[in-house]
Amino acid sequence: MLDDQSVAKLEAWVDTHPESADTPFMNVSTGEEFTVRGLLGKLRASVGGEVQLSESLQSELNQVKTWIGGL
Amino acid sequence: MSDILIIRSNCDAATYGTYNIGEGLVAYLQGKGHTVTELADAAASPANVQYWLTSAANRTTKLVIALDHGSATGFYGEVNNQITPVVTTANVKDLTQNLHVYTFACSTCSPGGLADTAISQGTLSWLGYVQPVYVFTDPNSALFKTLKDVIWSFITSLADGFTLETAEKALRDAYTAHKNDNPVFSYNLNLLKLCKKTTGMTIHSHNRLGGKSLIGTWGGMVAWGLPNNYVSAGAWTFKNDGTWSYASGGGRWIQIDDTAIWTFNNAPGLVYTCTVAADGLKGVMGYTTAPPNPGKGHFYALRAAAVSEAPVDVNIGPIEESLMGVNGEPLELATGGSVVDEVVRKYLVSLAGSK
Repeated sequence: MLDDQSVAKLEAWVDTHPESADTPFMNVSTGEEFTVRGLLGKLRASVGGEVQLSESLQSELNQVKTWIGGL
Repeated sequence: MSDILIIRSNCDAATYGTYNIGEGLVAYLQGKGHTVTELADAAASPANVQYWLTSAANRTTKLVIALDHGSATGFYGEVNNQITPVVTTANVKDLTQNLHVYTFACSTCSPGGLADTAISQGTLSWLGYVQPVYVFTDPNSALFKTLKDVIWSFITSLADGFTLETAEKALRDAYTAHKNDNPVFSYNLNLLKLCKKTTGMTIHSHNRLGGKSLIGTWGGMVAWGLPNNYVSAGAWTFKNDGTWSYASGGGRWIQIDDTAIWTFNNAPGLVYTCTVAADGLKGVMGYTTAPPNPGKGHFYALRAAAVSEAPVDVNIGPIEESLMGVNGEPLELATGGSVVDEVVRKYLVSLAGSK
């Protein structure tokens, strides 16, 4: 799961890249579609205890964490 | 017969994305002088793939590009609009031996999977991904077009005669240049893997034709007048469009079977002709114009390790009193940098000494 620093970094990225954050992309294997803004929203909801993340969504968020950590 | 086979199914939301990555690719590659066959949408069937790839028929000779679903054990086309495996670990030996393969598909290069099996059974190279790949779903979005350019960078590099290593670097550099733009570029970059039989291959030097193609860059050695008096003539680059170039000029070339001939725009009457092998050329050159002229001689060449568009200095190689340019004119004596790397240069010199 993303730590507070990663979440803050992701929020900042979404603010500075609004078009990219809303561009849908797909995991070709699962067919699941995402946007970075959508993933951020899921993450916030999870942190707030509103939803439980599925295993596949946790996997996607782990990839986001690796990516945002490398920027 | 085709140099390149493109396979791209279009039967679900994911393949709609991968399918559009290949839009325009046929025309682009044909524009570079390649013969190309495309199995798109419903044509990406197991029967058609078998027809175009079976090694006995040799209908596809250099490269397969597959923009499709994939897995550790196969990549997919379609039948009746349903994804269907077309190359699997069971038929990969026949269908891809002595070919280069590029898959923008999931997991074909996972450890011990399809690509590794293929390489162990005679496929020359396979660039793909070790896990599921990601694609933008709107072909009209700016990011989709950027991703398309990134994925094409490997193809254009190979088509232009670059080595696999150079093409892989072009692809990795292209992904890296956009990793801040969206996580998709970073995701795919981290999953990239090139499996290969050996190093230094191009699609022209190693293929089902035995690599007997002049296309690419060669380090030439020429001996005008006196036999065995070989000196380096620098790098000669032959392109798909029938043109060739060297540091001081260029001209046009043709090849039939394993015999090639080329002329010079800047040296009227000068003709080179040779026998083409996978990694070497051996032939004769001379002026067909009436004397006086620089005469005639012998030459040979080896493939350079990598192609470069950088200007080259033809005045490399051993210092010889009779050093001339490839068109027979006297050259200033010099040594030093060249697109032909030092290892190749020394090898060429040692060959000259042993003749």
